[in-house]
Amino acid sequence: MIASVPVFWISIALPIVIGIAAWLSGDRWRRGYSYASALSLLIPLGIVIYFYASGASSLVDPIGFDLTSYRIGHMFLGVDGLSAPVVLALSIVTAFVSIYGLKYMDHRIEEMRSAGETPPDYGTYQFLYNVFAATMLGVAFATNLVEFYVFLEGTLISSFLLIMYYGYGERLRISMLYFVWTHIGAVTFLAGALYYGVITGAFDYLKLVGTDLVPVGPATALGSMAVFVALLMFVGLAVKMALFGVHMWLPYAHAEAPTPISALLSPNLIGLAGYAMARFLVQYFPLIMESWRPYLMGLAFLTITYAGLNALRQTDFKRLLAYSSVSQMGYMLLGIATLTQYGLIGSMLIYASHAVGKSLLFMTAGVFIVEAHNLRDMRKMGGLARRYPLVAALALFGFMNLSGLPPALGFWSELFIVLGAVQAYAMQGLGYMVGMTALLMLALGVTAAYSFVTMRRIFYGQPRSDLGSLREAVDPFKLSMVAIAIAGFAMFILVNPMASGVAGWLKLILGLGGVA
Amino acid sequence: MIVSAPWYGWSSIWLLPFAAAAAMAIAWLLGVRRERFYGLMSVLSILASAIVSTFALYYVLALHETIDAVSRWNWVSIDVVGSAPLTIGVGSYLDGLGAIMAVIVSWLSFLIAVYSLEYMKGDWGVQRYFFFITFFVGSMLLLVTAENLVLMFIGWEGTGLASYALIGHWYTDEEDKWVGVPGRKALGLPMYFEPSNSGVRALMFTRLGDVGFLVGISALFLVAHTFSIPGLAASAGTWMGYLANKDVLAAVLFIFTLGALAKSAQFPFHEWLVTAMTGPTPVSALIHAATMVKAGVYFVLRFAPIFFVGAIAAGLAAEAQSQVYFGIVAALAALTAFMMATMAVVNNEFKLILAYSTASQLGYMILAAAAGGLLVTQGQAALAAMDQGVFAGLAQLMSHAVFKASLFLIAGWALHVAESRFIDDMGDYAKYMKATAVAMWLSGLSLAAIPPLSGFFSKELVLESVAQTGYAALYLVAVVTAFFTVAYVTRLTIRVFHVPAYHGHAHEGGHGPHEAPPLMLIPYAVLALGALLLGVFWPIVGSYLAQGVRDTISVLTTPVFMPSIDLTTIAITSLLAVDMLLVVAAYLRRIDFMSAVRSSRLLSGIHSFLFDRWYLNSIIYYAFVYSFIGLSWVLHAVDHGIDVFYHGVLPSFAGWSSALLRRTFRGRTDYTIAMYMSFIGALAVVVLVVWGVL
Amino acid sequence: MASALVDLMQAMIYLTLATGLAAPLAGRRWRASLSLAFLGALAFLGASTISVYLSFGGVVMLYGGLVAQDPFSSLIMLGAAVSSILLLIAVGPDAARWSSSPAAFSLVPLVLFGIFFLAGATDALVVIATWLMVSVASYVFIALPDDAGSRAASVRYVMVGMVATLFVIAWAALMSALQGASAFSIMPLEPTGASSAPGPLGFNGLALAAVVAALAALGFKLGLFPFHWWLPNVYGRADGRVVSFVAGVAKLGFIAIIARIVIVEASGPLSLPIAITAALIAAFTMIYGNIAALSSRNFQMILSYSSMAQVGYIMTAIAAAAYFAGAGPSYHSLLIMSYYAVAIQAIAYSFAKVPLFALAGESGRELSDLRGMITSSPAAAVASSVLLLSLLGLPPFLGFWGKLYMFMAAAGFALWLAVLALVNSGISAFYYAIVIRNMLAKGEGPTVGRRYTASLVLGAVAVIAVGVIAPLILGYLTAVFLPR
Repeated sequence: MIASVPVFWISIALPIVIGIAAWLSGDRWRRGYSYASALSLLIPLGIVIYFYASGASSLVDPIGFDLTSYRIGHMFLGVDGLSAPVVLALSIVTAFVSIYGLKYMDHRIEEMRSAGETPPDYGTYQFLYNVFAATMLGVAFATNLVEFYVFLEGTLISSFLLIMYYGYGERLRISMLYFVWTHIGAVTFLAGALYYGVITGAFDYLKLVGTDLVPVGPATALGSMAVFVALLMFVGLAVKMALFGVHMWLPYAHAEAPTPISALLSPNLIGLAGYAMARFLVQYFPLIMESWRPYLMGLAFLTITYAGLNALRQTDFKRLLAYSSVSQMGYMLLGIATLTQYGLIGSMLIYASHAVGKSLLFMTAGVFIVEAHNLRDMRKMGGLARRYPLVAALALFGFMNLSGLPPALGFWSELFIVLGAVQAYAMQGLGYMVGMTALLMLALGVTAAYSFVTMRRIFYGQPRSDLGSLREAVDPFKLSMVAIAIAGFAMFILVNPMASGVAGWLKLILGLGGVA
Repeated sequence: MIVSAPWYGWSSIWLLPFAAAAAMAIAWLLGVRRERFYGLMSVLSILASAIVSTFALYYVLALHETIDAVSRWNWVSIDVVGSAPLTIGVGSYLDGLGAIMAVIVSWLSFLIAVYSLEYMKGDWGVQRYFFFITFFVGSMLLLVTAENLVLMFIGWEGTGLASYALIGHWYTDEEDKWVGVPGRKALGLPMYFEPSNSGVRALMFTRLGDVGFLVGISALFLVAHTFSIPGLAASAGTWMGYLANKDVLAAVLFIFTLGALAKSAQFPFHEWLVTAMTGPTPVSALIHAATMVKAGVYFVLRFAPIFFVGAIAAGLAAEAQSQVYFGIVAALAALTAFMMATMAVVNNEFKLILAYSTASQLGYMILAAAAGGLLVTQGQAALAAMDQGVFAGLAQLMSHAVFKASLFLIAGWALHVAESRFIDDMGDYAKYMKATAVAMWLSGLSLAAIPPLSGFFSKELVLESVAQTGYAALYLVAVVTAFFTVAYVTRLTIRVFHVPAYHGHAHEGGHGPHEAPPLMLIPYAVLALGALLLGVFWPIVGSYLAQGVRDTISVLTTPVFMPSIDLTTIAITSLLAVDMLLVVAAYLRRIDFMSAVRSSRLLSGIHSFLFDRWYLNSIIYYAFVYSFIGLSWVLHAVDHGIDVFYHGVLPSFAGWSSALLRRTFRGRTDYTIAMYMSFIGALAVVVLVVWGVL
Repeated sequence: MASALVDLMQAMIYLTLATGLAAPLAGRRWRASLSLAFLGALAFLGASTISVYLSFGGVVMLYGGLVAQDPFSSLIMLGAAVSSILLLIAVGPDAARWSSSPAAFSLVPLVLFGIFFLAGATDALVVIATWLMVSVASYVFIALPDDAGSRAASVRYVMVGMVATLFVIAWAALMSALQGASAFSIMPLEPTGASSAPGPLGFNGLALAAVVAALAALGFKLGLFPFHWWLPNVYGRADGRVVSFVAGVAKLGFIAIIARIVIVEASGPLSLPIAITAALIAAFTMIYGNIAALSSRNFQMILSYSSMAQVGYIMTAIAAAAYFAGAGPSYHSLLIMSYYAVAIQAIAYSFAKVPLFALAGESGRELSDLRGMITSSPAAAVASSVLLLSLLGLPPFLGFWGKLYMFMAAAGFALWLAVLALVNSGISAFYYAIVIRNMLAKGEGPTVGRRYTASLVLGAVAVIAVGVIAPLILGYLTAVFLPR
């Protein structure tokens, strides 16, 4: 279905315009700009709801560019069953984190100035933030590999600058690591994409047939080179996704970024790489993926357990959350690697549930940074639930999302991924059944362990540092967290559109000769 | 006959508590902190659901209807390519078992919520307390009335979450809220636990089981293409046959049951229940005695007959494999029952003794049902045995729910009075609180299975159904356990109510022991009375119960509700009485067991072996917890290595080679020209050679 | 109509030449000579614009076929015109302070004039003539500033340049020999009757030798491995303001001609060997450039090595084109694409390098000199970051499209080449990011002069503006010069 107004372009352009305005007005009218940005970032939520309500298989922007004569293909913006959960999560998180950022960045900039540094003013932050958010939306809306890459690099530059300007610790060095490694990942992906594009003559992965976006199907034209192209794409995305072995950049970047940015980087940006795996690898190279399945699932379990156990050893709250993001990406890969319809549905739901959960947790960390004198060291925490009952409840909900307990959306992702994993292997015999059960117990057990052990270390027991007479003030700062939590619960109840949307996309893929 | 009860709407049984919980949460956000509001919301919503479930029970027992109320719409419905669509409806399935469970749960919860009004008065977390209690009741009712496995699992996890939160209710970890003797270690590991720690333990132990449950659900769905419980029962023959051919039937069933074993604290998952006693006593009574831990039993009672019938329909292979399954479950249950009973004999914390006893009794119930299944290989002939086992399990479940809840509520008052959790600080309570003492004796005797209390009948039924399997070992263990049970419950009662405290200070406390306030007394008085009446009117109660079991899915015969009072029964019962009298005598004549233990190395060895829970806690910690901590330490080192490689080795190598390249032939024009010429020559030669010109 | 335009174009070229010759006459009145230089650049801009317009209709043959302007060469000339204007805006008045300033202002138009013939040459003799003109001009230009570094650099440049010139002549001789006559036209290398293949090497031997000679000569100008040894000394040591002309403007002509020579000569049976030779050179060049730049903390040095890497990338596209040229008509569209890619990348390269080198000359060549530019002169800092990101090839800047199409072409030829190039450009992120980081880091930084800022900003705007419409240009690119 084609939208009647170019709402997609608007939803990308409007935040950027607001951001530019904020940039020009420097430190003035901060509140106005942050709320305006939040509103503009909620447009995609409306788009997705309309899309689900319409029941169409896709929703496309009326404005698209025909670059076939330039060997690029078509460039549309649109949303279909696979990307809808991604857009949903992106819109919710970016919008409310924008409100959250108001107080946080005031504090951060104030702190830096008092430390004798000269950070750029709030307007610059809002501008970069909006560009970051809008380009992430663009990545989800894109229908063409080049378009995808353009938006992807857009997210990279803006987040790089945000870390460099407002980050913590050795932020110059860390922003560098982040920029270089993820850029290397991006170009490795681009290498595969280029070969695909030059052989098939176009970079489309969704083409407009009639009024609907349709996947272009397996890349048969590549012939024997397909394996290399798939490998290039996989490795590139794996770096972006920070799977085990190429996760080295993530703990630094996500721990030291200014917290509102961590709340976007960690669940949303790296998750987009997982979305891309489902989008490209499953569509283009179903048979190759099938031959890789055991290795990919092994890598997934390795990532989950490895990162989870590493998280247990962290003492810095934000660093722990960073490792837990790596672990969650393991789940996402697991769902994709099963190559079953349930598994793919599960990994798209993981995107949303992880977005809700991890943003809540990072925002929790931010609350302590702002209100408890940069308290990040968990050895100094403890007993905080007495002071911050609301934040504690929200953090618990966040951890429930990670470890898949109802009534959090994470429950559904967990259910579908387990369904997928069992379908992929366990039914083949006694050994498979027992082994898969053991692996799942290990993975989910580790996740639950670090979640609730952390919950205890931070919120329970006796206070381990004197925070004076802090009292929890319920202000927009925390209400933005409440809003995200409510959205997460709503998604738990209204999971059906998301799940069946992905299933609808899968039906198209399978019609084109994929596997499941 | 099956009807879709129109008056029933969809699942209002569990909807009400959930709604109340949501209301509480919103009110809390809006700044409402009035204790009374939360208390009333909780009590009233639970009462409402209790009334609804009573109606449902009336429909089921009196009108022989099975309420199968499924919503018109589906919560999740995904059409999957190449297979049946995945649909998850929202609805309740109330057959005999479900309805009886719902009634037990909701009414017990009501009484205990009322008790909490008084017990939790002025507590700093009372709003949170009532929120989670209400949320728990909703989840528990969802669990027992769920029409399909996913709903059941959601309720299942909900109860787990509530239990986690309530065990850790006093998460600030003051020492008087701990469980275990502070400073005591076993095999070098501490045997005392703070509330927040116990909460994590409870969550982790049950979580592991739940993963198995989830895998089981998935496996069943993938072969049966449905989550609906009646649907699974209907097609049991088919999918069990399929799994049996793949030789995974026993494994799948056992993995499916892991969740139940963990919830019901069966070996090796039993550890969490013990330390769960850090929660407020009403919580221990409600969640860790009367209802939640019964979820596992309910699970077994619910599915054992389905598996049984399915196996018979599926043929020999399936029968053999499900017999293996039933065997494993029965063995674990028997082991747990015996093990926990022995631990209870020596322990010195009121609630801890009751916790051991709970786990042991749960073992009894599961044993009954599983034992019924052991005869599956005999096919149709054994149907009656299966159903008898289910009936015995349910009977034991009901009577235990009643008397154990009462015991815990009494414990709550006793601990309050003594300001201590150790029974050695209590004594002579009979002098100060007659009514409580009577209640204690009624419930205690019921637990000790002394006629005519309800516990007697239910335990007899269990023993019978174990006996008829012909597995002497199981029977023996069950009987021995009964003796231990009598011993510890008698010891507890005498110790607390009829002999003075070892450490006298309990009485010098500002207020001496006195009778409980009515709001607390009435609930456990009612329950104790219930324990008596259920026994006295067993012929009626039993017949209704049997009726209910008959109306349960996959139960094809009407079980016999009256245990046959034969010679063995009489012998065992009288021996139990003797056992009890011995303990009474020993305590009244002040035999100091502790000094005996201290004097003899052997005795003290045995004592600490039992007191430290057979060292299982430490073993589990060494085997799993510490191994993973070590592993995470290793992986942390590995991670550091990776980091060094990427951010130390690579950059320095790059920098070094870069500097090297820049240093080559800096300046010196003549060298530059020489390089230029020679490389041209080299290139020319290479090209010409490569292309086969030279 | 068309013919009238052709005449107009030639008139403008001559105007360029005239301004170049007239500039010195103004003597010390540098404003006059500077404005003359501007006039020449503008005239050349006009000429190249017309040439672009005409050549989109088809290859424009001039001077009896000795010069052929196709869209490719025209685009490159356009780029040269614009970047020379950027250069004049930036360094103009400063050059006046040099003792030999009039020469500076005359050299700019003269080189542009030379580029017109160099870029369009279809005959070896034209190449030799314009080669001499442009290179001598650049030697002199390097020597213009009065500081010792520049003079020393110029000396080296001249010495090596002499040797390189020999190889141009050698190449011309071989071409003529291969054609078995006194014809010097740039031809596809294929046996025109084996009889006319003298010497022990046989035809292929001579042909490949010719290719090697051409690569050696032009490789020297462009700084291709292994002919780049002079490059760090000259680009890195001389005054940045003159380097910006040599590296930014004059180089374009050589890029154009090396592309034409290699591709045309490859459009015969020898296409594969030539393509692979070029590919190897490209690979080594970019690796060398990137690794050498990696750990340098000297801004101008980083720029020099990065320009080496950039030329390496361009060579990948040329190699691919060489392969497509010989692979038959089915690859024609890919060939066009590679031509286009080279042109776009060359333009992006010079738009970025001219102001950046000028900046290095203006505000110090050490990285530490640039620290905190964002505070002292934000516009310049932001603009230069944009230019650097464009060099890195990040969208939506012009450099992205250049790299996209170059590496598409490379992928069409050999996947390993594309992967290598992309990994290189990934690594290059490191040193570009370091420079950007220093510029954008808060603190007390250098104040960049107005004119330099202006040229940086203009360059950035051009990079962005052209970047937005870049892919559309490809559509108009239809015919390129290919004999037969």
